[in-house]
Amino acid sequence: MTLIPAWGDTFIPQRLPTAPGLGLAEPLSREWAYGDGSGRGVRVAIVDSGVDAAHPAVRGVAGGAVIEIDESSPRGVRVVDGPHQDVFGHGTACAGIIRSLAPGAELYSVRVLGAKLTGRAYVFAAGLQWCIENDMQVVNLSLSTVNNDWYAGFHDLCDAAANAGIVVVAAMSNVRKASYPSEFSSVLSVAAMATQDRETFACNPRPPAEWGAAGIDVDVPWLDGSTIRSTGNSYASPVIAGHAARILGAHPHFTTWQVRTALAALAVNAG
Amino acid sequence: MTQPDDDLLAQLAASASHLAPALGLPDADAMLQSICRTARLVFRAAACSVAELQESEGALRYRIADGAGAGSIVGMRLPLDRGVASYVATSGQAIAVDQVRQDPRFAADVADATGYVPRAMLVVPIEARTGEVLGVLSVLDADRDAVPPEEILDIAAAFADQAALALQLGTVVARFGSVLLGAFADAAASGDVELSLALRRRARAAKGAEADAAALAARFGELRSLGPGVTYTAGRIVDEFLGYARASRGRRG
Repeated sequence: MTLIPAWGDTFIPQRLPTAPGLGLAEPLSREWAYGDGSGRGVRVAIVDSGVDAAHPAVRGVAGGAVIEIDESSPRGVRVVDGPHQDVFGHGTACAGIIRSLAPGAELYSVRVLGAKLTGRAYVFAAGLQWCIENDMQVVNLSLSTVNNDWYAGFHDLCDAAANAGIVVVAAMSNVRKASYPSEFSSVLSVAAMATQDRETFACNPRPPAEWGAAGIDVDVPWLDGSTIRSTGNSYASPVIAGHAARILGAHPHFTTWQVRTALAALAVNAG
Repeated sequence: MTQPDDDLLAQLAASASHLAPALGLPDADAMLQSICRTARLVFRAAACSVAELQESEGALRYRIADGAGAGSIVGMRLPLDRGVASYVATSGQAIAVDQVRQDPRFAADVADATGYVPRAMLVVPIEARTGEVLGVLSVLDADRDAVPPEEILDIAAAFADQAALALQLGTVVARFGSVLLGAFADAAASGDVELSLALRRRARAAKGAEADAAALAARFGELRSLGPGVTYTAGRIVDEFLGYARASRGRRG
């Protein structure tokens, strides 16, 4: 069934406003922004259900960790570094999308979802903390929480990440509910757009849904080497993460805000 | 500071849990059934179900379903380490999947057991206002033209919100003793901390209603709704039956 997740209606072409232009004499080119377009060496974390490193669409991960509950620890969690499986397929989907756009990126899987981790916002937060402590450059968060108790905690974490030069890309909720950290201005908030072309994305000048990318009826990698067709803002977020990785591959010292400016200039609706 | 009688609190909690069905509160299962049926009709879908999260057992249990395969799926358990529904329950994120059979870990055995294998699934989390996931609502093979595409997920989420209220109501009835003592504890918290703590401790320890006692209380609740005359007559019949049962037991003994 074709459906449009919440916030995706922003990116229906007839409704999408033009993004403000930079007013440059020569438009900013993809060649300048992306360099060789591989995102080579850029460290990209996928905070999700794990990543199947053996999936042909993923072609390996550079590292990662599993966040587990540990009630004896002050933070309530322990970090188990090393290889792990994807428990659902969702993280593999995100990793495969990023790999398709930035084949040279180093992918890191940070697993915060699992059978015993239902709705544990502090596990999710610990995953984001791991990304900051381990010098990730791009973080894909195709998940969010509606737990208001974690509003301030995620706000601080996302500010810390942005100030450290980490581009945090987050999927908006698929339903019209306030969720965090996807609505914070410190993250690149993404919703699904009706396109199959991952090279195309849009910039909404009136956030919170700031970016639109392919996420409706898209074929994505899943478990055991398979592919499924699915819809969700979840799949649009890694598209933007992949483009951000390309930009950082060519311009490793860009700040989060410079990456945003370059992305806006390359958007399909750029002024 | 008050030292409450722990045994008395335990008896109070047990009595409250056993009698809760007699209060005549709306039946949670009937509400869930109505929600599933309405969702199925709105989406012109093959089926709609509500599965309840049983986190301590690491599973989802299908509690109510309407439409194709409904009779078979109710009561089935789905381990939380498999399937699209488990992803939604653990992440709290809604998802729509087409051609679900392409997912090799799609719970095909569950679908086969129900006699209906869907092509497409829409699964949304059922969440309390606090964000706690209580379960998932699944819509199978919805008609793609039934509602506008940008409204599908929001409408499904609205049904899930109703399901959350029904599930929470069901929990209140099933654990009425615990809820009652918890409310007393809240009321006592500002005045007598020790009493409040004791009530809270007993609220946590309180068991849910025994099925037989709850069913009997539910019947009395239904009788009461039929009017005082019916209640009086039923009471007389029960008295007669009790007399007969006691006499029979006396003869056997």
